[in-house]
Amino acid sequence: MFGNYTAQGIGLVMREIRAVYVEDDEGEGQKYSRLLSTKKLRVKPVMAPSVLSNEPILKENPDLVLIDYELTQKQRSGNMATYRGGTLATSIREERSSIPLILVTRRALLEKYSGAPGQLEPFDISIFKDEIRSNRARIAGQLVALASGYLALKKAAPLTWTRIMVMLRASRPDIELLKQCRPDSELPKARATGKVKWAIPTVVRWILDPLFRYPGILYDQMYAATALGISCDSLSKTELQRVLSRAEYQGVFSDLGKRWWRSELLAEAFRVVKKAGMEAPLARSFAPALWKVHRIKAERAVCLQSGETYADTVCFVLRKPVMYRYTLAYFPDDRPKVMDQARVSFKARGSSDFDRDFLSLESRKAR
Amino acid sequence: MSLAAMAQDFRILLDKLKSHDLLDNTGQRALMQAIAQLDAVPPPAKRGKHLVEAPWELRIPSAESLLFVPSTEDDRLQPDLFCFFSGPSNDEWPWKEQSLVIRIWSNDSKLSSRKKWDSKEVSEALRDRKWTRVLIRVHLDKAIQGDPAPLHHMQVGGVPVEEDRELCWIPPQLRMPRFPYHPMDIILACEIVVANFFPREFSRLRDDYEWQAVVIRAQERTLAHHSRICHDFCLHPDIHGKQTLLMRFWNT
Repeated sequence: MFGNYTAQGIGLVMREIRAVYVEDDEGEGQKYSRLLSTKKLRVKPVMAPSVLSNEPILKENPDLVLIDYELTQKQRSGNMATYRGGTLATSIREERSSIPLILVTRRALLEKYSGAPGQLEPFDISIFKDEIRSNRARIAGQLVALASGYLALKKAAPLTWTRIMVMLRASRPDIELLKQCRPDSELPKARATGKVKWAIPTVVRWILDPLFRYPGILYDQMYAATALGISCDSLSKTELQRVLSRAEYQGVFSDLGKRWWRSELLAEAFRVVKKAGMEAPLARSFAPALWKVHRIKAERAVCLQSGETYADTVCFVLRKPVMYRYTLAYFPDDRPKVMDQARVSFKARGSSDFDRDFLSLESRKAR
Repeated sequence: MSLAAMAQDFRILLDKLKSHDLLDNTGQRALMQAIAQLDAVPPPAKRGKHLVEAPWELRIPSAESLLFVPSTEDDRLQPDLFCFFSGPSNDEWPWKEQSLVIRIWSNDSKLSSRKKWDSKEVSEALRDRKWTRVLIRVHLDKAIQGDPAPLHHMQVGGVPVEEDRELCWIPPQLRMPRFPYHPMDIILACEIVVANFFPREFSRLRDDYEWQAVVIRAQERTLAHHSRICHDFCLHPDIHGKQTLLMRFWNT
């Protein structure tokens, strides 16, 4: 049904992205705008107006707005903003909901604001200034991907369920799964009439979290590789990606990182296994089958617990492959049931990120 | 029989079992891989006027079985199942090969260990593995050609696939008795497991239209031919007494 959409078909944008960066420190504004600007992204610094107003920002007609959170420092001109970044973001979102809003801050400060999560609500993502300094190309790429996705969704609006599915390029079986965790409708009037439409930021939030955040319907490289029992490096091989190309996620925001439709990935892998005359479990048979059928060498996933070259699960805490039998069920978040359950390796118990309270009662008793 | 429809029913089955917290994570993965195996089969190809189904196999391995959570009726018991099916069938039966095993595990020492009966080696092995053992194993198979048994049969015990892991006390050498039984599929087997081991959840699932529809479709796929034979045979018995229903189902 949705198989024939091209990049233009789902509205992916190829032109330069225009961004503004709202700051209260002129030097910082110029510095980070320069650092983030690339061939595909042009960032212009804008000083925060002293009285809350969207005008100086929206008159630039931006595709993306970066906002520093603490805007209340006295500026060189003598002006001083009387509001924080969260208030400005809410105001922009009210006026123009189709622009992505990015919080730019320092790590320590984000921790400070976490007590008032409502203030951070309008932001799509947050980035840290030290990240920009150390990894500006990656961050700039993410910003372009985010803005392109927003523009594509804006082009597709009004966002009905069918339109959203087109934008994701989801297949029929995946649509059934997606229904089980679909975004909340914020438009009660539309809901009452039966034709639900979603606002762009709601859809974006839903795609980024839970869809991209939790493995289940989509897999990132680590989860995809481990489900096939191979290393991430092996999955990155061009020739293997060609074999599995039908499973690659090519919908909106696909530039934010490689992802795979789980059901199609497993089916494609089983096609290879079947051709090789081998059988389930996939994680054991995929690598040899791949060699037999396509002469592609894939390194096996290595179990972090035993060191054996067989692993079929990802440890949630250590983010590394592990054999399922060396894991316990872990409940660190409120992921929808349609997503894969998190598992934690025995080895992760020594990690500072491990929280024993997130184990099930039986696991706590057993270990 | 449409494999795509069967895969879709497995998706609903997975969703229902998951949403009632009935499946262990191993079981969820097993069912996901079963769905992927069906998805991997090419769609039927047109040959002349006919649609020809591609050969297919569906395997849930015993070591990564469709494992349920411990029974809510008796939490000392934990059922699982593993299976092998292949197709397409070249007659009116739903599939060419069928081998489905339901096992009941327990890690309660009072159930899994019998001091007077178990050897020292078995007792030690049980202690090492925290008393985990298969208490009972039921095979629901389709006989292979020449096997003197009902074509579709049920056997308690049977040949173990994982003797060392199971430590089941039923002797593996016994090939009988094999009771005539209807063909079985994963959905109907899950229904049996849920009805027996999770009665409260089962009573909720019985009111769920999607669950009902999935089971009804599985019945149609799996049982139609068998039911027709029973029905016809009972309405028109062999009055000369040359054949009984058991003989009608006997593997020839």
